[in-house]
Amino acid sequence: MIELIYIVAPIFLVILLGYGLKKSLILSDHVWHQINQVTYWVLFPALLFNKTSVIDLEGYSVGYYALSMMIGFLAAVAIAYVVCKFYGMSAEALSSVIQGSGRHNSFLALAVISQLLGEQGEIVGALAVAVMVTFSNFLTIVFMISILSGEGKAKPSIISEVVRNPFIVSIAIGLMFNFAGWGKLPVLHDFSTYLGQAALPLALICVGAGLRFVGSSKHVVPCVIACVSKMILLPLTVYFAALYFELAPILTISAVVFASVPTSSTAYALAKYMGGDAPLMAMIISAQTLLAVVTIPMVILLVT
Amino acid sequence: MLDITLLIAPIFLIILLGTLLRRYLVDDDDVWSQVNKLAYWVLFPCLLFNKTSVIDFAGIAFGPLAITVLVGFSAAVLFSYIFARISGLTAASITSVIQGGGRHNAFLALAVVSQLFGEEGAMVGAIIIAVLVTFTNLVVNISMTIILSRNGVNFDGVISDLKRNPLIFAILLGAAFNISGLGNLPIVHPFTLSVGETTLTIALLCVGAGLRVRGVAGKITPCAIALAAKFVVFPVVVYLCAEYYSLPHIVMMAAMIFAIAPTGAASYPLAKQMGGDAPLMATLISLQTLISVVTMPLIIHLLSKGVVF
Repeated sequence: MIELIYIVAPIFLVILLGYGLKKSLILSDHVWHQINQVTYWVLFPALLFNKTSVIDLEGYSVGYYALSMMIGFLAAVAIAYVVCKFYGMSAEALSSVIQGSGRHNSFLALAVISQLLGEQGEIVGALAVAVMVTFSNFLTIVFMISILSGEGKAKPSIISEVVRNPFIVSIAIGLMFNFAGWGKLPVLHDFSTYLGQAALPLALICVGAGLRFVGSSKHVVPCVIACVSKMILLPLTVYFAALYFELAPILTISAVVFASVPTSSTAYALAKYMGGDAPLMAMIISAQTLLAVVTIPMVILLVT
Repeated sequence: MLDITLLIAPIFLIILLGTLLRRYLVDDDDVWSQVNKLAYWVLFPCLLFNKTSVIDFAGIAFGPLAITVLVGFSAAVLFSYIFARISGLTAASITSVIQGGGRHNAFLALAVVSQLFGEEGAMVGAIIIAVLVTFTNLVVNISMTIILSRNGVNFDGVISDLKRNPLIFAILLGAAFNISGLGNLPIVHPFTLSVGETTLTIALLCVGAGLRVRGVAGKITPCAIALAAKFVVFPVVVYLCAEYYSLPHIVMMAAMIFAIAPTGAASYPLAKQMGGDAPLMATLISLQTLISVVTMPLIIHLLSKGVVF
């Protein structure tokens, strides 16, 4: 247990650092947005390219690995949907709970997986990013458009931005280089290594800077629903699916850790642009990030 | 020879990427200033703290190798200062010339040394870093504070400026942790390492973003001084010292590689935050990195053939 704290604590300290910096050194939201842009469009794609271009897929049942995570996503979202309907929640709140139940923070997931499983973990983690970013972003957006009648359609630029995702593009290019046998091209590999090295810490600092501790009492119930389905139901479902498919231990751990991380910090921007409940989304992101300090080690303990 | 060039190229590419990002993605100079601030107040201090807290001070024992690199560094800094003064440069420009003449890109130098001499090279490189990084940052920060102090040079003013210097603070704190045996603390060590390791990339991107090609013509004198200090004075003095102490071949080569490595990227945030000549610094870093693509492989090749001097 103590080793797990050693693994997870530095990651959350980086997030906390970001939160502190937003309050002290760099106050401007505009500046953070721009730093985020660099991480999103350049540094993190470089990291994903770097990892997927040298990945050795031999002997891994990647299909079932992906399937386990997809099943978890669908189960968590479906249950959250049913419970929300039961409480008679508004479409806005519902869309935010759905985002909070199914999506994931790729940066945090990859940071934990690579700390836990080392180089090989970083590589299977990058694969999980490839699968789940595509899958969960696509479904979430389709879902939000269908329940937020009309309002979502006004912002096709946001939608295309999320679908035309730099993560997916960089992973696709990485895999192409991989299959072509160009995994460790001189210059290019070092270049993407340097850029990638800065990606996770900077992304996590931005996650911290983006935390907003707002919300009112009417947000409590939907927030609890999102937290339970995201932090408990989703990882458990993925774990049982992984057991059922008899995944290799490294894939099981990676899939479950991926399932256990808080929802994506872009969920806030998406809720805002598409007419979801943005304050609720902020509350869900912050609550999950705080809870993750405890739940991630517990989940890891369960599967190792 | 080519393998050395291939190690330097990515460093230059990151500078280039910074220029492109400034042009196409983040065109707001205030944002880059803020990123610089982040590098100066958070990222670089984390790196310095992290490295200083685990240096094996006892293992270094200021031996011939330490003296060799420190004398080389001091000669380069003195040369830079004296000639920058004689040429009548502004205080801000003098500090940037000093940084350009004396600092080194430790990441690059270590990568080159490891590439050439494997594990043994990496060990010698680590010792040089331990000695040189701390000393370089102390000397550079103190001399910059003195040169740039507005109220004339007085002891109290300089001390109070130094107290507010995050880099000096990080080094002292790291040394305190080190001495009290808290060097490799769980949580703290990996935390500062992961944040600190971003320094090189972020600082290089800032260098690229701050680069103004048009201004280069007016900077010939400071550039010439810094280049002479970096590529002539520093390596020649290191070579002579190494010969004097008859250092083993690998040790001599490692010291030379640090001497001829282009100046470090962290010099840019320092220049920007402490009131140095930041545009000149960006030019110096880019220029030296570009020149190194040729000079590093060449000098290494000549040295290993034993034909230099």
